[in-house]
Amino acid sequence: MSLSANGVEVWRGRGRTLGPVDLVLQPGEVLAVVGPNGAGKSTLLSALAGELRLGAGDVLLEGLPLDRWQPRERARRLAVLPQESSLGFSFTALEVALLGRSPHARRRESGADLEAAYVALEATDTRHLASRPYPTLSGGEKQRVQLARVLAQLSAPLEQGHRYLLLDEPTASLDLAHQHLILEAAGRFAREGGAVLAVLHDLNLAARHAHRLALLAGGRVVEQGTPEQVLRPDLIAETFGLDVVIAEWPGVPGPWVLPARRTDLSS
Amino acid sequence: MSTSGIAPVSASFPGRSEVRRPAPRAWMLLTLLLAVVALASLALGAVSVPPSALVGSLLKALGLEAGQTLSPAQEAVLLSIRLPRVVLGVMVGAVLATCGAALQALFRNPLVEPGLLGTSSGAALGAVAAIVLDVALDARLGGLRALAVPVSAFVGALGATLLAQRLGRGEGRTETARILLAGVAVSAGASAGIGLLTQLATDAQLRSITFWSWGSLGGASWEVVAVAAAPLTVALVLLLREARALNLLLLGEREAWHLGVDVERLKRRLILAAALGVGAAVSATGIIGFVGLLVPALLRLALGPDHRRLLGASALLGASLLVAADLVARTAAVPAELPVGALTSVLGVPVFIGLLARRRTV
Repeated sequence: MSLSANGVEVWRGRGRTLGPVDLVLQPGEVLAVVGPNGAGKSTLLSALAGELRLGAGDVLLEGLPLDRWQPRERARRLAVLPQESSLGFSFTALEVALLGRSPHARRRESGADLEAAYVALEATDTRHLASRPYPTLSGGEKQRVQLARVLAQLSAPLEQGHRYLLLDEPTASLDLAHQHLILEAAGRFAREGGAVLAVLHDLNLAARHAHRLALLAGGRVVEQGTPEQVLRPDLIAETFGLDVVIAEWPGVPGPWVLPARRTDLSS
Repeated sequence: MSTSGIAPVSASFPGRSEVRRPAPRAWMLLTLLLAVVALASLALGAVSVPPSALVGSLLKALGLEAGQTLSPAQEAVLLSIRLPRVVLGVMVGAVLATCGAALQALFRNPLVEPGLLGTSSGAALGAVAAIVLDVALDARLGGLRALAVPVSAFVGALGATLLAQRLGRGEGRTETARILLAGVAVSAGASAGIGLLTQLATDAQLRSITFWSWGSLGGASWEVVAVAAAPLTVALVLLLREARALNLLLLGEREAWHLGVDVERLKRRLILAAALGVGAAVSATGIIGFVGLLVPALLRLALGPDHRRLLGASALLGASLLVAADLVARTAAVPAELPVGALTSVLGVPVFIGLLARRRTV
């Protein structure tokens, strides 16, 4: 029971942009994919989502290759939140969340679909935006409504199978409070038996909300494990090219990654 | 299960009215509008047909007792001239508006229209080519000759739409500027082709070529209706069936794929259906622009973007618009007849400019 990448490679022209990568995402966990720009984080997410033609290896969802799944069946198990979505048509926020229900709905949405959409809006703090036209929302509000859409997509009783949620930089356009709110919603989804893989830039956010981290550099997984195992000064210096100290703060869950050198503001 | 599922929702979520329900009332109003416009179009014109006599004759045809009925001359005008014209107007208007709505979803852009995309000019090029090359073809084709123009219009529409779609896509996403430029390029190419073919045309062919450039329902007859009816109906049905998938497509192709839509197949079906519809429409009436832009744009303001409401409403309003425009075209400047495509453009261009001005990004 997992979403797994086995020896996955992605090639662009003659260059290998990813891999070989082995990675397993299991129900109940939040896995954060971290790494410097250009490390292949989004490419890995796209590969796991079944969007890319793989140069080698395969991606298995519950043991079955992704392209062997019925599209609607797959959509009930696996949802993806892209980095940015442009929707210029005036659906309301609620209608956007309801669109997430389409793999479940027959001809029209049922009361259960509507309930799932509302619950998802609550979870992303967008319930009050339900009747607002999507194009009039701010960037952060749009991102949260899109997250509500994928949460609604995967809302189903656990006995109907495990569900996998892939988030590509879900916190990119959010304020501090909503960054945590969104990742808490992801954590809740995992506690209810879902699996979450999130590409995150902020190592501290990753350490705080993920059970496991996978550090990517040069298209390969350099290290994976608990935040304490992955967030080591030597690894971070090697991959990000930045000297850091790892700190603990009494009473606040850590570890904390802090740049070691003082920024020179005078010049 | 389903009823018990609904009850707690309305209790715990008082905002249930936030969901826009399907629009049977809007559809009923639009159907009524279409009936009124169609009756007016049957009644008005050079030979006046009083509506009471029209109704009387209809009742008589159904075997009922009727007061006033039509004279044989009125009946002839009605049956062999006005009725096919109204029927053709209804079908072409419905198809153009629905194709517009569907193509806008495909390109995720409310500015797309068969006329702007090059679909219509591609169809016109195909039709003109068939007319000009007719000399070489007619002897061998025999009875299939009537189909030569519609078939080559379909091929032209398909080719132009595919070309515009390829050109309009940059780096995985479609951008307004690219689409419009691609449409301009495809249209310009088709116009050039039509211009060159015109040089080869005889006088008689020239007259029917002129007809394509502005569009008119003046060529309507039961033969034209018979040839166009099947492809127009098929295109309409194919497009109406995709309402849900079109909604998902608005989110983005990647998002739609993750919601279980086979996006590549859907795109192929949409382009084929649009080319079939526009090809049949253009081969029957010439290029009638902006119906596909105007109608969905107005209806989105009233009904929102959900295609389960929008597509059917577009078909109804598109039919009404074209029949009404044709009524004006043939009665405003009697005995002259205005080109109906010019009338729809007069209505459509300000809407297009308004949409363009309002859109700052994407």
